[in-house]
Amino acid sequence: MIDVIRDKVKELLDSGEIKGFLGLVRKNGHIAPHLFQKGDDLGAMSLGDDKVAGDARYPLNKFLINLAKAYPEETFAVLVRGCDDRGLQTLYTWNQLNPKKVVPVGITCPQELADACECLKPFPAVITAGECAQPGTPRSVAAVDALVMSERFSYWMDEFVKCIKCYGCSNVCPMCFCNECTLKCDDLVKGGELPPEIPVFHHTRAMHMVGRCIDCGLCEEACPSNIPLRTLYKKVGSIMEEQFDFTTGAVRGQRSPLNKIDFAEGRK
Amino acid sequence: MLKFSGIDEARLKASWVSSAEAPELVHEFTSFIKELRELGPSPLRADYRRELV
Ligand code: SF4
Ligand code: SF4
Repeated sequence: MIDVIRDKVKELLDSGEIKGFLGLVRKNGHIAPHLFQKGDDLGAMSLGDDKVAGDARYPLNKFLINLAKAYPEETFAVLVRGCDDRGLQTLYTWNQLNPKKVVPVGITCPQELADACECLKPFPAVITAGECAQPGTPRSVAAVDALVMSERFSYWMDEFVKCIKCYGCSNVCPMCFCNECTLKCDDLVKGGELPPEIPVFHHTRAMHMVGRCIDCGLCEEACPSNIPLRTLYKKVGSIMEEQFDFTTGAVRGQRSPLNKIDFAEGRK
Repeated sequence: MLKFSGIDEARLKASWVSSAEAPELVHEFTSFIKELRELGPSPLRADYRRELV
């Protein structure tokens, strides 16, 4: 798979179509984000599979937003899995990235990763390399739904109480792009307390992920307290699906129902 | 989301009342306060940190 990606990236760089390729590199024993430019050695490129498939994923789209801000005229290519592709589509609709300046280089995820993520679409719309795996089976939300109210309450409170308010969840999130964050506003979430006010801290983040969370699972991976954050946001996503028939990032160009201004006819 | 977290939905209420409708506003407040009293103290008031000793 990686050879196909290397060839594709080399072709894009040599043709001058892109200024750089935002991908991953294996360096000093670690896999880390890297911007490959024309003439660079592509030999150390990685697809984020260290010990098991996809165990070294990064919010590349988040770095891409910064790159695009610094070099608004340039076009960059970026390595995308299924979740990253949903992320790109969503970031376009929130005007954080310009689709004309982004070239996605798509890879598929293997079945084991799709199953672990319970991912509903473990491949991007345009695939550069790889075979499509079957969607994972959703389990985590149903497991909480199966509990009675009092058990649900203690389940979540026992999890939330472990929070050390490190902001890892929002720092890693490719869809967290606000400059001002509610979670850092003293009037809304009281500062200077550990754990932060629960469940307010986590519910606030969950509500802000409505129409934004693309279910990449990076938050849960980053959380040092192992709080099952993804389950919470998966629930948010499933409510959006039931109520609005909307899956974040699934349909190209489709805006979230919360990000839609229907102008009266005739108005430009 | 509240239900998913095991919190009684009846503890949250959203009503749209115009500033010109004072009696409606008062009615919303008093009836909601009554409902909350019936539900009893909020489970969120407790300290969920574990005992240290
Ligand atoms: S799964 Fe977590 S990190 Fe990924 S988009 Fe959703 S909230 Fe952000
Ligand atoms: S990453 Fe985990 S511990 Fe850190 S703020 Fe988020 S929920 Fe809390």
